[in-house]
Amino acid sequence: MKRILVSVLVALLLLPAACSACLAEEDRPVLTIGDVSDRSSKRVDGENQLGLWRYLEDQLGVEIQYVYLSSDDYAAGLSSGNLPDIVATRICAKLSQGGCAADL
Amino acid sequence: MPNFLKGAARLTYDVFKQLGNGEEGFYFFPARIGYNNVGFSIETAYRGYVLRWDYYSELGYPPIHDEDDYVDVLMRMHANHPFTEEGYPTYLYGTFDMDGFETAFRTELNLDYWAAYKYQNDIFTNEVYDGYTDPAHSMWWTSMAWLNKLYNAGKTDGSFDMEIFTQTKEQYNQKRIRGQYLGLPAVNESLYKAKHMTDPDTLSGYCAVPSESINLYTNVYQLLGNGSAYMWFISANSPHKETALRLFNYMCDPDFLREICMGRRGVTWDYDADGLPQMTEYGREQLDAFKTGTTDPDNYFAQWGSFNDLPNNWPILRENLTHPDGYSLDFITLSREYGVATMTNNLARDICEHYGVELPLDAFYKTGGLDFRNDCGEAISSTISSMDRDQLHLLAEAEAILEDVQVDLILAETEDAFDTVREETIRRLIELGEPEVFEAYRQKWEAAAAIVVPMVFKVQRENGIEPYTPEQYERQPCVHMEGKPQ
Repeated sequence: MKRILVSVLVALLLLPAACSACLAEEDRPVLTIGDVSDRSSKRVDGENQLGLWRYLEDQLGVEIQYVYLSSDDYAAGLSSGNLPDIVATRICAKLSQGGCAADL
Repeated sequence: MPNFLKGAARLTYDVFKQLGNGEEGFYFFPARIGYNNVGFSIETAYRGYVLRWDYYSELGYPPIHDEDDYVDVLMRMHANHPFTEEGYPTYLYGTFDMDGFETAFRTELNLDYWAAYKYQNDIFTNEVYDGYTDPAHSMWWTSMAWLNKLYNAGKTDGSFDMEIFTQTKEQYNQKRIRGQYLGLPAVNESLYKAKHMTDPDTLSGYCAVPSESINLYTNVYQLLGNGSAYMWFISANSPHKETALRLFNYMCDPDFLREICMGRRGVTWDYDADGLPQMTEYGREQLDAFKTGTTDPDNYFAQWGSFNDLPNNWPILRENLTHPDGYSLDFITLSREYGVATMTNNLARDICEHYGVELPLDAFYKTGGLDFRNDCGEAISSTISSMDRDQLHLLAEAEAILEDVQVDLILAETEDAFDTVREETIRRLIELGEPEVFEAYRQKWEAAAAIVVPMVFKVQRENGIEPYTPEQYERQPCVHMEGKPQ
């Protein structure tokens, strides 16, 4: 009984966030994240998205799209300047010289 | 003040400001600042003298003090088990990466793997070495000598796997999950998991042998996170720079990080009347089930996630840093008590029983192993700009020379034949001009080390981890790859 009660309370706590996400999702800007890695994604986006990423999206008011970039995709992005909003990289020094990274 | 300019994250900014020329901007966020493994957070050492624990226990756990002992044990295991229980042939050792990552953890070298190119630093002194032309301080050269030793040990009875030169990653993984390799560069759980499904008491699996000749990759304070392997930047062309910056700010927010680790406050944890963070009954029940591998898709943490469910480069701070409330961000699982209470792995339990300790890592310290607490290699490497185009071109040629002689070295039939190839290769590298490139790198390294090393040691001392003294890390004579005292 206690477990059921806790589950209901949890559902009620999560409900407002879930509903606001549903209502707002269509108008949200898409924030793209590119990871230059072949490591497997851990449910960052899509149907099986983990709750913590959904919570982060709600806090920021965005939709996160997470992609893994191959070395070729990344090299092409560096040349053209057409990169995701946020990028994880191994080649730091070259980037600041090339002007691809924003000065914060 | 934004979160990424406070606390542990602030040090990144400070380091780059000190090393910059005052005009350059701030471009990068590190990935996972904090301790990469604390003394009780993993069940066994991950690298070292890794072998099949079931066959090792059959031999009565003979001590392994050096490579010769390791090869001897692997050969005895092969003599007892030339085939797996399923009938597949066994091999002394399997590897898919011959660069020598595993050898870095041996006390013959005391090297950090993460510096650029083949420039590697001593994990205790933080001096940098030229791994191309200085074979006594080179993972690559040590790896060649190690694989050559294995080749000569196993060439007559077929226990050296000649397919390591040609097989695909998938073929390598298949042999590993079948337990065909008696030794490995690093612990891998696939064999144990497969065997455990049919035998809950199995000791089949890979484990590192506690030894004084292994450096434990624990208590490593990564001032600049996983750099230089990984860093983040916001694209200069992004139309969402402000939002991206807010995301990084959240990733440095201790309250958000606490929730990543422990779930939502008010649901799975909350502060008690004394202001101490405590799991709720529901939260503890869900966390325990999650940590012991529940398959319940409705489990809270299966749906919410956990620190370990983040991609390897997120977030900016690690879960073992301290929240402003004075407790670790993850205030439950990062403790000896939790480690002991939730230790379910048969191999870990067997180590504890055999060595008479509470946790497997205790056995490594008990046998005399030291850890990576002095090592600043990743942080120093992160601050060094790339070599120029001509230098990179020359290093690419140096790599090609090494690749060209790799098979000749590993398959050398005698020590003299190996030495001949090595000397000729080093002569070619010197003629190419590689030592001049290293000298330019070394100067950058030393300038960065002068700033980074004191900062890391200060953090370590603040956290109660006293860096090792020369008297401690010079505890035994280093051994050249030739086996002669240094």
